[in-house]
Order: sequence, then C-alpha cells, then structure tokens
Amino acid sequence: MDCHHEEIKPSFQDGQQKFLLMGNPNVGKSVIFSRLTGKQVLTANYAGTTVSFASGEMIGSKGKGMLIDVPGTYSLQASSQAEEVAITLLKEDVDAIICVLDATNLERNLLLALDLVKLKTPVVFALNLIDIAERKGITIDIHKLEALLEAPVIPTIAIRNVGLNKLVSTCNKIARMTSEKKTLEEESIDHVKKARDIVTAVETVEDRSPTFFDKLGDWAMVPFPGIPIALVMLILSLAVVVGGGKGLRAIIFLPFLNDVYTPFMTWVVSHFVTEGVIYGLLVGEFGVLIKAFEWPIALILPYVFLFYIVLSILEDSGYLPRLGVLMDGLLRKIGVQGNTIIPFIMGYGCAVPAIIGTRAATTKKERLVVATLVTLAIPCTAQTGAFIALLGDHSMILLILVFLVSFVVIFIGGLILNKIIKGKVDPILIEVPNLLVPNGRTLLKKFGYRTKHFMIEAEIPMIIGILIAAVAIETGLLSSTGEYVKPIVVDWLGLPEEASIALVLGIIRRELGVLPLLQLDLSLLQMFVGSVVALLYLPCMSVFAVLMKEFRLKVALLITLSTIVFAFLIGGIINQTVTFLLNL
Amino acid sequence: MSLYKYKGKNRFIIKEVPNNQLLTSLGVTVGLVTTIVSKMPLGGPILIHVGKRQVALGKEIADHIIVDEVKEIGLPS
Ligand SMILES: Nc1nc2c(ncn2[C@@H]2O[C@H](COP(=O)(O)OP(=O)(O)O)[C@@H](O)[C@H]2O)c(=O)[nH]1
Repeated sequence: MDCHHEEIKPSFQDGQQKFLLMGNPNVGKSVIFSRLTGKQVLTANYAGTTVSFASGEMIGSKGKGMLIDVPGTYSLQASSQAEEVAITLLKEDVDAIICVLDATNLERNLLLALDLVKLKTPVVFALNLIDIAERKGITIDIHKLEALLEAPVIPTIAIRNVGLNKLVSTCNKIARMTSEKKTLEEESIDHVKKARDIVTAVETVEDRSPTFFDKLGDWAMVPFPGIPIALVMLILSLAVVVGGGKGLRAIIFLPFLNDVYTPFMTWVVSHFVTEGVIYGLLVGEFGVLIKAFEWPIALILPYVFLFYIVLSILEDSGYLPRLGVLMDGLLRKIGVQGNTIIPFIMGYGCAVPAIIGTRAATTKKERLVVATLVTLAIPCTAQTGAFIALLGDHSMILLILVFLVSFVVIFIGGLILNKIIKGKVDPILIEVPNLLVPNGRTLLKKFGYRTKHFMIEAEIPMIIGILIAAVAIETGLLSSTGEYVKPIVVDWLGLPEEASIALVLGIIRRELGVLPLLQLDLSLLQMFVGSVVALLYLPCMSVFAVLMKEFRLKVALLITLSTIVFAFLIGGIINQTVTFLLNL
Repeated sequence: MSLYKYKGKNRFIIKEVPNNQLLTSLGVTVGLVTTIVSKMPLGGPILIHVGKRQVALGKEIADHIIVDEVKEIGLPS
C-alpha cells in the first residue's frame, strides 16, 4: 500500500478543506464519489472495487473542498490493508467525514458508524440504497437515527442523484462546526449490541414476497441450479459478444469499409501519388490509411463495445461475487481464491485493469498467479475480435478450440504456479451482495468511458504497428530478416515466413499478433497454430509496463520469457502432432 | 461440531469463532442462531444466513467455527 501515500500528499493544499468519503464495501461509495466530484471511478458491485484511493475536488463545496474516496472498511480496527489506509487518512487533519450507510443492511453498517461518531471529526451519514430497502419492505426512521447517532443522516439514492445536493450542503455546514461536541456515552459499550439496539429502535420490516431478482440471487448460491445458471450466463455472454459482434460487422462496419471508406481513400490518394512505395504505405497491402480504420474500428471495435456492455452489466448486477463463491473450490486448486474470478473476467477485456485489480487479492501469491495467467492465456477483447475475424469465417470449431486451449492452459499453468510459488491462499470470507437490476445511466457512462479508453489506447499503437509492417513489407526488409526466424516460424510452427511480422507486431498490441495473418493465405492448421501462438505469446507493451509497476522488473521479465517459451512450445507441438497425424 | 461438518437442515447456534475482525464485522459472532444456505462443490465455501444477507465462509474458517444444533421442539419442520 505504500505507493498510495505518495498519491495523496501532493493533492493536499494548505487551507483547502478535506473531506473523507467512507463506508463499508459495496454501499455505493464509488457512485457517490463520481457524482460529487464529477470524476469517473469505475464502480462495481463487489467488495474491493476501491482498492487504492482516489481524490477529487468536491462540486459545490466552498473553498474547493477535496474529497477523498477511502477504501471500503467494516470497522476501524486496522485488521486489513484497507482499514490501515483509512486510519492513516483519518490522522491527517480532516474537516468532515461523509459516511455512506447501506439501508438494506443497517445493523452491520452501524459498526463503522459507531466507530466514526466517537471521533472528534464531524460526520454526516448518507443512508444510501433506500430504493432497494423500500423494495424489500424496510423503513427507517431517519429522525430517530439522527438522534441516536447524534449526527445528520441524509437518505440518498446515489444512482439517481437523490439526496446528494443536501448531502453536500450538510457536509459544508458541519465542517464549519469546529467540534467541541458530543462525547457519546462511555466507551465500553459493546458496538455489536448497540448497533442491534439502534436497528430495533429505528427500523421496521414489512414482509414482502421476494422479487424474481431476489430469488434468482438465491438460486445462484446453491450448486443446483447455481452451476447451470453460471453456464447459461457464460453462453449468453458469448452469444452476445461473438454473435452480436459478427452481426454488427456484417451489417454496418464491413459494408462501410468496403463500399465507402476504402474506395474513397484510394481515390483520394491516387490523385496525389502514383503506384509506388508511398502509395503502398498509404493504401497498399499494409496501407496505413486503410488498416488504421479497418483493424481497430471495423474488425475490433464491435467486440470491444459489446464485451464492455456485458462486463458492465455483470459487474453492476452483483452476479460476479456469486460466481466467485461458486468457483472458489475449483480456483483454489490453482492457488487463488474464488474472488479472483473478477480480475480473470476483467482480463478478457484488457489485462491492465485486471492486473491492477489483483491488488484486492489478499496474498502476494494470488496476485502473482492471477497476473501470470491473465498475461499468458487470457485473450483481451481486441485479440478475441481478431480471432473471430481470422477463424470465425472459416471454422467456428477452431475458434472454440482456441478458447479451450486457453482454459486448459489456465488450469495447467495454475496447477504448476500453485506448486512453484510459495505462500498460502487465504480462505474466502465475503458477504454476498444484493442482486440488482443495473441502472441504465450508470451502465451507459461506464461502457462509454471504457470504449473511449480503448479507442485512445488502441489507435496510436495500432498506427505505429501498421507503419512498421508497411515499411518492412514495402521495402523488402522483411524478406531479408526472414532467414533468421525460419527455423522457428517455418520449420517448427509450420507458418509462412511472412507470419513473422505478426510476431513482431504482437509486442505492440495483442491483436496485432493475429491481424497480419488475415493478409496471408493460410491453411486452417496454420490459422489455428498462429492463433494459439498469439494467444500465449508476450504481453503487449502496456501489460509489460503494468507488470513492472505492480511487481518488479525481474517478475515482468520472467513472465514475459515464460510466455514466449510456452507459446512456441505449445504452438509447435500442435503443428508437429497434426502434421504427423495427417501424414500417417 | 465444526460448521463445515454441520449437515443439518435445522437451525444451529454458533458456540466458538476464531479471533477474526472481519468475521465480527460481518456478523458471524458467538450466539448467532441461523441456518445453512448451501455448500459449494470441490471443497468450496459454506454459505450461511446472517440477518437478511448470506455470508460465504471458506473451509479453513468454517472448520474453526464450532456450532451446535438447536433442537426445535414441537415445531413441524
Ligand atoms: N438501486 C441502487 N443501486 C445503487 C445505489 N447506489 C449504488 N448502487 C449500485 O450499487 C453497486 C455498488 O456500488 P459501488 O459504488 O461500486 O460501491 P462501493 O463498493 O461502495 O464503491 C453498484 O452496482 C451501483 O450501481 C442506490 O442508491 N440504489
């Protein structure tokens, strides 16, 4: 956690008011933070989203208050990293605390509340998720709760912006009441008992028959029908991403590319230059003007877009922690807790947030296992899009086989890593969150943000990669270096010499390890081998950078080296075995 | 008997819990009377009801939680 202290210090300016945003995990803190600061932090319905803390200027606060999003904590006992961070932050001189409470789970939330009201710093409570509480038949007497906590309580529905203005104004008001206030009656009173007493006094629960979502949430938590539900979810997600992506491409993107964009660009360029190197560089086989649109936008974007829709829905619904609990037994075999299903699934989007997300994992061992496996065997959405572009039109079976190879490698790789990395795996211990219908606006914002991020991240490296390829091909450089890679690429992997360009570009971005293969005339076996090699091959440059930052250079190099060896080994074995079998 | 071995459908009472702050925070405390939700396959966690929520407890924790069946006298199941 030490690196985060640096993040916070410089943002504290003299005379600036400081507010802390605190609360148990999963109470809607991230949503409130983005609403109050206008900053986007990715929210998700599971414990540990806020692994490091963010800070931002609070909108509507006088004198530009700084709001700090403290990691979610259940108490102030310094019993976890998050709690230590919270305590460190409380020691800074803070003007007020905004503490978010979950109205559907008040008793447990009050434990932290009771810790906070004992402090000197003024506190305002946001009683959040009251819409869900209402749905469950829970009513809370706000005035009584205020009286018992001796602090203001504002009911809020964060995702619909209800109560947040009042929250800010109350926060400003109490910040000025330099506190010589309350000494809640004596310490020794047991918080657990006190919380229970308060809940008895303020809460009335009316029996409501559970909604379909409540029932679905419960079903997901028993092996049967929990496991079938998980399989249905998997198939549905795949159908949306793969099927939907192919549909979007066929109906919108490819016709536009082939009938409008390419002819137009070629027409424009042919006005200025005649056939030759420059012409080739612009609109030839690896022409920058064509490929910079075709690859990232026409081929990849539909999948990225759909994947992030699915991921955002899964995250916000609260299904992922359920999947984690369900898979815990299996995942422990590969040396990680069920919770790590979340970074694994995020890895199918992009390995960078997945690796950063492992910070929530409890042990170093788990972080290393997840980071290595995500780097090695999980294709990012962009690469998945490239696989679909390469294989999907020829053979769906091969496409599925690539994913099977990915699963097998994850499992076997995990078993091996579990053996060689020392350390233990902590047992899982989590509270299952409410299953929610995700809020449309929050979702829209979230995948808008993620898709935009992809466009910015992808476009420039893509152009650089395509330029390198174009230059190498147009100048004939590629054929002269081909000699050196021949033993591996041609003899061992059975790919044509030109395929080595994919291996070079794969360093820049993972999908670039696949896309150049589209330009070659390959047999099904060659496509499959090329895909498997690209899948397992090197992390891209951004992943390498994040591995280095999160671990050490040595670890990053080690992971990189083992992925190269693994990729050539498995790819070669597949090629040699199949060729051998075919020649029998 | 340990929670992980507890098989009954009946309610049980928690007699002993390991010293773990998170357990206390999640409401898994001595004296809690509750029921099992389910047990996940392959040595996975056991789920119990705590208030209106469910808490998943890994085997190594559940092994160290001691529970006793609550005899429901005269109640039809
Ligand atoms: N229905 C409803 N959902 C909410 C509310 N506040 C937050 N959420 C959802 O609750 C989930 C958890 O929120 P998040 O901000 O990630 O929680 P954090 O862990 O405390 O940061 C997200 O899916 C939010 O969209 C609310 O007031 N009502």
